[in-house]
Amino acid sequence: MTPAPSTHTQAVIVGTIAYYLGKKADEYHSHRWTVYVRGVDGEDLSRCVRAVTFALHPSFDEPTRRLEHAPYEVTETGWGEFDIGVKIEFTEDSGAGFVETTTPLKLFPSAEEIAKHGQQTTKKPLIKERYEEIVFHECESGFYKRMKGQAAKKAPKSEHDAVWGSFKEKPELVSIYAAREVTRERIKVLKQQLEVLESIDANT
Amino acid sequence: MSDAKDILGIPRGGTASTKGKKPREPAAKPPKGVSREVWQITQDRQSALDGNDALAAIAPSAIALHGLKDKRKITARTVTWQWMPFRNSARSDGLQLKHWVKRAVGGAQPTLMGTNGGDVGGDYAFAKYNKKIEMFKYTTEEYERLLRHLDESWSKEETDYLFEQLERFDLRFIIVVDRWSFEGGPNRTVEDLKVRYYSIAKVLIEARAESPEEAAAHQIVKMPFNAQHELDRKVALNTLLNRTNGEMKEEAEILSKVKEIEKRRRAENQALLQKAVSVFSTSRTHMVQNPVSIDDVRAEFEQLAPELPVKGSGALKPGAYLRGQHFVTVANEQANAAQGGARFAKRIDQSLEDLGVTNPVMSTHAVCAGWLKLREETIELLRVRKQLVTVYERLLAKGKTPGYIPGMADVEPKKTSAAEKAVPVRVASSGEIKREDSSTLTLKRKTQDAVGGRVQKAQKMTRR
Repeated sequence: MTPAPSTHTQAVIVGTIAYYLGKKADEYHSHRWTVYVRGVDGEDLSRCVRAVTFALHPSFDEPTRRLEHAPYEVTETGWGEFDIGVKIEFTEDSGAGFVETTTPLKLFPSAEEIAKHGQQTTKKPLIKERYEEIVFHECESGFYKRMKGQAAKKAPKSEHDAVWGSFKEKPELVSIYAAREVTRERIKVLKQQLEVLESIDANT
Repeated sequence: MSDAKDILGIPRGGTASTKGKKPREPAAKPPKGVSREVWQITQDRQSALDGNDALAAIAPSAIALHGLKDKRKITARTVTWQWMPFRNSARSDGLQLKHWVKRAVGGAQPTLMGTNGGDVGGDYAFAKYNKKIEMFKYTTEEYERLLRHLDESWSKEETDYLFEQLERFDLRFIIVVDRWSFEGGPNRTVEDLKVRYYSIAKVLIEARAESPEEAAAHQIVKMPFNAQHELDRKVALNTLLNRTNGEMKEEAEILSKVKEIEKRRRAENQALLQKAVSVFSTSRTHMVQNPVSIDDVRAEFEQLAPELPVKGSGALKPGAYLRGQHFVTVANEQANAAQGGARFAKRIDQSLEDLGVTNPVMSTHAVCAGWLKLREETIELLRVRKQLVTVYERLLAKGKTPGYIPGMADVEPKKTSAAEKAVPVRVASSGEIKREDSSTLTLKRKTQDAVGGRVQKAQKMTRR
């Protein structure tokens, strides 16, 4: 991968982590959850991120939470799932402004996950996160140089450090690879079939 | 025994063989529950033991003797022949002749219709077959007014001669042309005669009809005689008739080759269908061999799309982009450009889901590019299938049964493993032609979704 000169790529992980409260749960507080934006492998994002703003469900107090320092996390308790708005602002020198996305808050495991890992417990968190790559397309050269020259610092500690998952590209690549092989095979068969039917059609 | 006699026409009872013999003692009746045949055999054995064995088996039993002396009562009708006078209405001279006529006496019909006994009211029975054709004829006045200038190559005399001959031979043009001898006239072909007769008939119909509609409804006006078609037909028949042996052989060879090709094609088609079944099986992705090197795959995928594909029209503005999100937007645009409509986009998503691929989770360049390409290929697949459906339906409309379309309705039997159950098996890529299986599966999926999501949804609603 050789990005075009002036294109910098910054990997971030956006997601939610939720703990079931078990006995302590009441009608309106069944889970304790955290929404976050973090770097990969504890990388500090603040060298290019100025602030992260999370837009929670309007039923929360102060639904818009702006964080100017790492860790970019908001922890709440609740019982309902919703999509959380995520706005990442970049440092001035990037000239890139900000990006916006959403991440789903997930509190309840799906039937599939229950079958795999068993029922939800208070110990085991439910993590729903995705690996995104922020692409600074034709960014300011000063910013670019700074990113290249300056090694990433370690991010400040987070209470969830012990349970963060890691991302692997290989299984995803393999499944896309297999799906493409099958799809192309199917196209070929259908085209042959089309040829046959068309020749029947032409002869009748 | 008596059956055989019936066939031979000998009266039942076989009196000849038993004549002169003392009538045998009537055999004992079979006890209830014993069939007649079984009883007879045991009786015969009994008499064999008594000493007259040979006769015993052959001699008719008491039962066979039943009705021995009865004579067949003949109740049939008597048919007589009578010498009867008759006239033939086909004759103009009213000549009376006599002939033998079959007439029934007794319980039978007085006359046997349809035979020569069926003279109706003294008229000859076959007179009804003396049909005269209804011809169009013209009067002299009509000829002068309508027909004189119809075709200058025909004189009135020759036309008169034609009509005379046609009437005589009941419009059998072949016979008329065979006997054609009009002095001073040119040689006439069958087509010439037909053209002349039918064109005159047409003019007469049109002139005599009370309304143009009435004339137009007539067969001769509706479908005028086409001499050129007739000639072409004859030429074609002639060439068919005049083929040489070599040509016929050649033709037969071609036909047999065609048959062979068709047979081969059918076999190929069969093989293709079989292949299609396996290719479209829902677990097909598990059959794909893992790539040798993941780095090669990554490198290959990165070639498929740029780091940030162009969205909409015009170049990308400088700035920051979330790659995964950007690719999803591009993919939606791609789906819209291909066909548009939310349904189509859903079908692409469904196809990918069936292949075990979700939206990118790890949005690296390679994953996103591979994923976008996969969607492009899926669109192609759906497009080809749509074409296939069109042709398929056209063939169905023609009354052909082109078999089934691969990937249309190939629902594999449901898997039993728990992991597979969570993701219901569906039509390979949700085809247009739905079978019952697929609809029930869709139903299943819906209920499953409901179980998974209803609780949270309900909670969400109440919270607001």
